[in-house]
Formats: sequence, structure tokens, C-alpha cells
Amino acid sequence: MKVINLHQEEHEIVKLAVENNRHAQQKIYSKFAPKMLSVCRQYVKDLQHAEDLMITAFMKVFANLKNFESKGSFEGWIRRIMVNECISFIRAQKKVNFLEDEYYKEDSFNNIESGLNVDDIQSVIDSLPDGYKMIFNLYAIEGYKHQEIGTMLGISEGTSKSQLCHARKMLQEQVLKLKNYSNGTD
Amino acid sequence: MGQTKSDKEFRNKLDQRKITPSENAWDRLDAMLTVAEGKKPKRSYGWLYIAASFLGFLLIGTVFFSNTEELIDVKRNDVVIENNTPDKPSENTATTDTVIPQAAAENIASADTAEIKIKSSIHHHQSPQSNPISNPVPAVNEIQKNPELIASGNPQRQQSGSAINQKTEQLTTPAKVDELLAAVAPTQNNQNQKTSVKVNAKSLLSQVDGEVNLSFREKMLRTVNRSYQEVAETVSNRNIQQ
Repeated sequence: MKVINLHQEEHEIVKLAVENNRHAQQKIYSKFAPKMLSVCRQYVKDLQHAEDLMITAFMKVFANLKNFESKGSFEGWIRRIMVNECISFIRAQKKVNFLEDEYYKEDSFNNIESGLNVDDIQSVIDSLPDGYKMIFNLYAIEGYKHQEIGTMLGISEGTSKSQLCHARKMLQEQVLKLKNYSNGTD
Repeated sequence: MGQTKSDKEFRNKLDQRKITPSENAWDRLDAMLTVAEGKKPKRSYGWLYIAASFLGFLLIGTVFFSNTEELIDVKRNDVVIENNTPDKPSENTATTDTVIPQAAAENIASADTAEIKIKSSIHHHQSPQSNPISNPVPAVNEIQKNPELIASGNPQRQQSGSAINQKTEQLTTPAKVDELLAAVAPTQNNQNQKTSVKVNAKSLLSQVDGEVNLSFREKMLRTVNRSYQEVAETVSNRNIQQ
């Protein structure tokens, strides 16, 4: 009953926000902005840039709110816009260069939890090159498939897989380095 | 290669993370939204321009057609002016002040058909069909000059009218013309001396200067002047001959 009420409340707020009701727009922003800034921060190292991207993405959210069909999750819809905005930003900077590696070997990674806190996880992800970081975020965090990632980034499925493999390898090295550093063995 | 435990760990921890935006983030977004909303009404300006231009054309059209109607009214007034020209109205011709332009003039003129026909035949006046507007003018001018011809109570008028009526059938013969004129001329001379009516077409037309189109006014002035001059000249010549 409580979930239904919350859903109806969200539906009403969205309805008002479509009509450019600034109070409803602010409610949506206040509710989702912290989470969406975290999403943008995954892709962009600089927090100020991440915030700029979030604001731009919220502009698109409110501009296209009338197209939201209320069938799926509203949060998921906003998150998708945020991710697309971040990808567009990174690609516009021309920092990304996806190289297809046909001879990559799928290593067996340690299937264990790292035990790092969220800040360390973010610092490990930040250490990745933009291409690796993008594909790792899309696959491991957002849950996209390689085919979808290939379509989004304009690369082949194999390239996405090889990039992910290299990203994981680098992450494992970084996690080990961080663990050793924290244990004082390095 | 599916999701590893570390992937799930990363996802769970990152999903739970929340980063509070800066305080002015909403203000910036608010300003951007305001600007975006301010751009939308520009679309309606196009319709405003179209509506304004449509109204402009409508106004121009209204002014144009209203001017055309005024010109038509002016023409009608000119005809009335010609028929109301007598400066010294007679007893009965005072009724002609009511505006019955051509029909009334023709009715009056028909009573004096003899005189008019005589004068027109003698002086080889232009054919009536050639200038329908100026046609009543000579007749009216004659009437104005000779109000006694119209006055029904005047015995001379009756005598001369009866005499003319008797001779109406013989008007076409030039020999009878002199006799008819001889009968009419004394009365005309007397009345001309009494009335000495001089129709000043310019002064009459100047009364309606503001209403008359310049070109139309000139045309009408020429017509009235020409007719008046012809009638005056023929009458004076005939009187001199007599």
C-alpha cells in the first residue's frame, strides 16, 4: 500500500513537472540529484565536471519528461540519460581510443570481494584509462551487455569484451596494490 | 565472462553512494530551465507577425474601398448641383430645390419643349445622346434664365406657351422659327432684364470644392461652362438679330 502511494505520488509529481511546475521539478531534482551525481562521478574524475554533466542531463530529463511512458522505473530512465550524457561528454573530448585486441586472453580473475570502501573503489576505477573505465562501468556497474555497449559506443562486441578484460586486469592489479599499501606490505 | 563477485561488490557499493551537489547547482538548473522556457514563446511571434500583416492589409483594403465609395458620392452630388443652380428661384421653380435631378429637369423642360427645341435647333447644339450628363444643363439654364416660362400663373407665359403649342408641329421648318422667336423674344428680353441671372458655375462648384475630385471637377466645369456659353451666345445673337 505504501509502495503504491509512493508510485502515485511520483506519477503526480512527474505530471506537474511536465507542465513546467518548478516546485515539482525541484522535488525530482532533490530526490535524484545525489544518486545521479554519483553516477556521473563514476565516469568523470573531476567532481565539478560531473556536476555540470548532471545539470545538463537534468535539463534533458525535464525537456523530455513528456516522453516518459511511466512503464519502467523513473529512476532508471533518469540514470540512462545521465550515462548517455557522460559518454557523450567523454567522446566529445576525444580522449577515448578503442583498440581491438583479437589476441586477448580471458584470464580467470579472483572471484572474491575486494573489501574496499566506496572511495577506494572509486579511486581504483579512476585509475583506469577512459576507454576501459567506460566499458567497465557500462558492463559491471550498469549491467549492459557487450552487444548494447558496442551499439552505444560504435564498436564491435569483441572490442568491448577485450576492453573489459584489460580493464579487469588493471583493476585487479590496482586492488592488490591498494590492499598491500593498506596492509603496509608495499 | 559474466559478472564477478568484485563487479557485484563494486556495483552495490557505488549504487548506495550519494554525492550531495553544491548548493548553487539547483539555482543553475533553475536559471537554465527559465531560459529554456523563455525561448518557447518566440514561436508565437511568427503568428503575431502574420496576424499583424493581415490586419494591415485589411486596413489598407478598407481605406481603399471607402475612398472609392466617396468618389461615387461626389459624382452624384455634382448632378444635384447642376439642377440646383438657380440663384433667383421663381415661384414655381423653387420646388426644384428638392433633388430630382434629371427626371424633374426633363419634366420641366418638356413643358417648354418648344423653346428648348427651337434654341437647340437654331444653334445646332450637340445631340442629347452624346452627353447625357450635360444634357439637362442647357434646359435648366434656359429655365433659370426665363423663370416666367415655367411659372404657370404668368399670362404671358400661358400666351406664349399656347402660341408655341399651336406651332409645335411646325417646328422643324426653319421658316417658322423666326416667327416663334419673335413671339417669345420680347418676353425673354424683359425677363432677362429683370432677373439678369448669371450662373457662375465656378462659385457654385467652389461650394463643394472639398468633396469634388479635381479632375472630375474640371471636367464638369468645362461642361457647364460650355453649355452656358453656348446658350447665352445663341440667345444674345438671336436677340441682336431680332
